[in-house]
Amino acid sequence: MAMNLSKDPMFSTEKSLFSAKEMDNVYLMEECPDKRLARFGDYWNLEWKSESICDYKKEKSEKLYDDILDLLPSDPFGMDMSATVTAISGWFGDLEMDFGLNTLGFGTDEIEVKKGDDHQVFAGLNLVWNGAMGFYPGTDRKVMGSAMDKQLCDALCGDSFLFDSNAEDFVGSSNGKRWDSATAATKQEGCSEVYIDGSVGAPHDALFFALGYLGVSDLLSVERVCKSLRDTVRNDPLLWRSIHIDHPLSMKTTDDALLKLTSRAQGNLQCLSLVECLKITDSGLKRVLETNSGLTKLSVPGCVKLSVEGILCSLKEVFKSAGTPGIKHLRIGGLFGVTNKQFEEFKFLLGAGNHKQLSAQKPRFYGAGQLYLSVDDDRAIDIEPCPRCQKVRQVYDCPAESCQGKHHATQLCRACTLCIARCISCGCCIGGCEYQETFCLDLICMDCCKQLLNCQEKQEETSTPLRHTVFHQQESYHLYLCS
Amino acid sequence: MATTTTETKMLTLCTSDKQQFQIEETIALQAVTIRNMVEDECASNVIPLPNVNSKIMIQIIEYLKKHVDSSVSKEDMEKFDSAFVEKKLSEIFDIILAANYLNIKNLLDICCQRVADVMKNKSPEWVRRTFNIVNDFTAEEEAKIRKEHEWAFEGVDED
Repeated sequence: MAMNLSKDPMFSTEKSLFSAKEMDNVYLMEECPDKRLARFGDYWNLEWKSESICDYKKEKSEKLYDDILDLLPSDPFGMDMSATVTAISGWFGDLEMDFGLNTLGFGTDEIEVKKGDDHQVFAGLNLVWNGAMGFYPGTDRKVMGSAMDKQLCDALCGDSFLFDSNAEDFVGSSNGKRWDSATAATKQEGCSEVYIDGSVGAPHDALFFALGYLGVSDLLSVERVCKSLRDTVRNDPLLWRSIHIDHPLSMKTTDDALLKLTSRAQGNLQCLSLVECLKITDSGLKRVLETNSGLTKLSVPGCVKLSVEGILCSLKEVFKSAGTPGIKHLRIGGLFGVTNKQFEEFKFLLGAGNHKQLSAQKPRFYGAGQLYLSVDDDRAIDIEPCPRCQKVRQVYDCPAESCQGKHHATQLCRACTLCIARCISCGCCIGGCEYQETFCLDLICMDCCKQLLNCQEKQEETSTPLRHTVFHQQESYHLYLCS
Repeated sequence: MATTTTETKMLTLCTSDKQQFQIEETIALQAVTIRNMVEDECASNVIPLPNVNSKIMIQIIEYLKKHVDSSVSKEDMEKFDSAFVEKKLSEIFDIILAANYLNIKNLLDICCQRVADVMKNKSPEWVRRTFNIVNDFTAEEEAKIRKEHEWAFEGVDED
């Protein structure tokens, strides 16, 4: 529907959307008087589920979400554009009545009027926008008064509203002049909403608390939002105390990039986890370790460019310079060819000389979506000599009850995956029982395979809302049957 | 919690908008700030909480009441938590500030986690739009910051 509105670039869908949105907000306040204060301050695109919203609003909300609609042809399905607009005009007509805004005299905005009759109604909406913007001193207070009650008006015009500095932006965007030349960034500016708490434009104080819960890629993204967030992200070493890089950044992270990231911790780096970072080399890791002597957890599973010998050398040097084992937890699963001698050296460097009894360790299972041992596990190192082949590898326990009962070491269902094949899904040993091989050459036992199939059938029964999941499920299903 | 038939000690909390809330001490003491106040005996009958308004206080008390109940299973508690944070972001923000002030760590955790989840894999533009933040970079600054970690955004869609 939205795409039908975009007739020419000058009058983009975007603009009408924002006008419409403004209308929504105002309308909402009329609709639920009790909540008007609260609603007004809300982030509109996060609360569409709210009750008492009329049908037309729902439809509009869909439009609001989809910026991508701009990219689509104006009338791809040959739908009748004028009919749609008329319908929309009808809705807006109702709205105008509700607000008593028709007394303001619509259609005075020069730019819009030129666009012809179809757009008249949007010109009207723009007026509403302008009216809503009329908080700053003097102008148009009457407009507000007619749309909202005085209490709200006062609240908005009170100390919390810092419109002076931003007024230009708002007015600019509501006049539609910015939209033509707009970069993505300026477009969003116009999108800023009127909301009550705090000064408009500055991030909410609480947002800074949430930064500590973001991962590396999200921090880098947030850094680009505005100055205050940038300064916080850059200068707060605590945010960078624990750096975890996995897909999709893992493919892109180079030695230099990693060094730059770790330097943000200002020497406070405690936990570094690089999952399958294909570009990180021994020398890169060494530089990071040299500059971050406080590191206690290092996880480099599946970083194929790193060599066991290289990691060992780096650790030795850190050990030499610091005198004590800095790193207490090491994860190098996925690196092959660790010799027993190297393994002993690792254990020594980690200060894990007092080898923990097997019984003291939590059993470790294969599969279940987790290929590598988490750094938070209390093991010092994630590899150990396989009880069967004696090669130093990742060793797994068996979750099957029939296997757990055995206590004699020789019978124990505990070995590397080469000695005991295991199901990628449940981690049970596959001896004797039926199994399938997946496209990735992983094994899956028949039980899990059936479960997957059942799951898929069930989801197909449920209708459209789950379409994405079903699709996903189908994908994995195909994957399993490929071979 | 041992709610015996003997009388439970009540605390009165006074919010910024001068509303008073009577709640059991065991519930209130989960907030470290309140506990410190009580332990230091600097609070008389009424504990003033000038940084929390009544609307937020009601929700925080709802949370504390649930969490003081040790009979609730871990799964139920997680269910409650995830339902609790299903609020509008503006409310979550207020709760974060209040939880920080009252020093209720797990409440702060779940609320911040919720905000972080919302922000996950989003473009700077999306964050600005959603949280109503104005881009105050000059064109030069923006270009510079875009360049700084360009590698991380290669091949990533803008939105």
